[in-house]
Amino acid sequence: MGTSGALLEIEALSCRFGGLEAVANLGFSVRAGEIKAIIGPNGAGKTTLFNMIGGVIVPSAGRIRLGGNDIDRLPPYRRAQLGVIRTFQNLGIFSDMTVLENVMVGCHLRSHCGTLQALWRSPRSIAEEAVIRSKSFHLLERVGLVDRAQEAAAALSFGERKLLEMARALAAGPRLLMLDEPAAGVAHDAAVGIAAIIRELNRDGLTVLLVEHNMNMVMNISHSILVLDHGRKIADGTPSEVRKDPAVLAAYLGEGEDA
Amino acid sequence: MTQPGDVGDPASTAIAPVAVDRFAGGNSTLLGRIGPLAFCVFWLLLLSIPFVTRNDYIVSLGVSFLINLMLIASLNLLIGYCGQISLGHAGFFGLGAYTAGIVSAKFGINPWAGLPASCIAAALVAVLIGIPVLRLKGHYLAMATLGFNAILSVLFNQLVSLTGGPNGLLGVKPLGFGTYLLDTQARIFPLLWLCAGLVMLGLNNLIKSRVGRALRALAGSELAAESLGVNAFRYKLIVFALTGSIAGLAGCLYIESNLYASPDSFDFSVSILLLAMVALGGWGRYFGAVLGALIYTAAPEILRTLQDAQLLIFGAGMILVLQFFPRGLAGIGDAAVRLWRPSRS
Repeated sequence: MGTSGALLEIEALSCRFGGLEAVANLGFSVRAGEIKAIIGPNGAGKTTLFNMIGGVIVPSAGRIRLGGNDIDRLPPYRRAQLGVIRTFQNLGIFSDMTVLENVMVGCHLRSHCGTLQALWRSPRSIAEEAVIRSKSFHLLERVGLVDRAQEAAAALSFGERKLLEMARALAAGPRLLMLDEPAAGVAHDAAVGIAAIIRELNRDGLTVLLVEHNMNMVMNISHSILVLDHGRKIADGTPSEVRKDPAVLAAYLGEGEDA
Repeated sequence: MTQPGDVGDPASTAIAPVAVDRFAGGNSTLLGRIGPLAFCVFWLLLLSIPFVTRNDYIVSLGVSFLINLMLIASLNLLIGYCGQISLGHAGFFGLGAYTAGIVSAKFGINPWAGLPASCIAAALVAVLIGIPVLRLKGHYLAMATLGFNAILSVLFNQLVSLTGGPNGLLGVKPLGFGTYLLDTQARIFPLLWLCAGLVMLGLNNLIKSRVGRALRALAGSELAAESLGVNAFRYKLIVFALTGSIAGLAGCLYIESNLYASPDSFDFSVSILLLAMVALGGWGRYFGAVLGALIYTAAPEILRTLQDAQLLIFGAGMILVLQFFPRGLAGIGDAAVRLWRPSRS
């Protein structure tokens, strides 16, 4: 596909917290239409990297490009408007709202009625609300939560919340879906279900970037894998390439301090 | 139960909203079910007050209730739904009151001009204050808004030539239609009733809209809301301006009801009491504001005979309610329903 097919390009990205270099001089790209996984031991800088792409953390140096345009100076909501939509490792669901309302918040970007329209409940806002509702139901159906639509989001199990967060992210119409540990803390069966959903979404053309510890899942669904250790890239390639990489084996087995 | 397949087929978008409506009936809280109907009946009965009684005292309680309701309901939107704690609401209330009062008493302009003027003045000040202040969170925001209210209180007291200072603003002209002047509380009551009704209707619409969901989302997690494309700061500013202008409107109606205002009605201690009423009624509960306003209006009257002990009783009652019903009085209805019918669905 070459670089022309790159949706997300990361160049010489670094992030320092005081003396700690959480991410150091990192470069990689995510091709449009692929599933790319980021793996690495705890503290490798995966979540920091996610936060920089999402705009929550400002990089110390480097560039982030989406579809050829620099996005590294934009606030998180602007990046979301451009299609960079993420989920959170520690769950960012709105627990005071119902399951359905959570997904409806996800539709925010694809709807337009403002405060004045809402105040007098204009015909346009009523029509838009109906569309948001039905879209949200479709998405809940896709992740298998449609029966729980009217329940409080707080009533869902951990695994169900992960699914809800995914449905909500999809509602925002992502160009790049970033999943931070979608299967962590989830029962085996549920993890298989989540993997199947990710693969299905990808088949429909969605580009996915995920951080995940579940190696089975990563190896099964990813087109390419980026391996980080101590904030540095130690490998970037297909699952079979990465599996054989000596540096990866060393990092995972805790041998040979190289950095 | 509804078959999920009804809405599952993307090709059936034409019928989807209809199918979806069957899900929509699931509002399981007591107030959510009988609340709207009961509220409409209550609201219609409210209008009859000045027509069935000639008792000025009862009418004045009704006037206070409507003004308090506008204040508490708007503050509830800001604090309860949007999660931004403000201790400056009485400041906007006073700003609206003095704007309207000065327009008619000092500049001799038609008092009707006070209505838009007070809303716009309060909204403008809210935007100017909000741009720096809404970047703060939690207690810092509360402190900053408290400071804002304190500054306004000083201005209300010191700008004697405009506000009349501590003695209050006199000479406010009543609203009127030609020769029919709304110069008594019984006569201005229907106007207040209408304004408060429109405010409640607008807030209800807003809360249930896309914007309302965005507000509740950013109150829950600003980070998660932003990651879905919600411009949190912009929405906070909009809500601050909107709730400020509703308080301004309440201020205008307050001064037109009493044809007088003095600075102590807009002191920051009033802001604190309003905040307490939002909590007592129920944070982020639509009808919580109604309960809060009822108590705020009635409690001082009921407890008046207790003289000095009234603050003690009032305070203790508030602590008890919030201790056992942290979701406020509106939460008691939910708890009752749960006891009544332990196993729904």
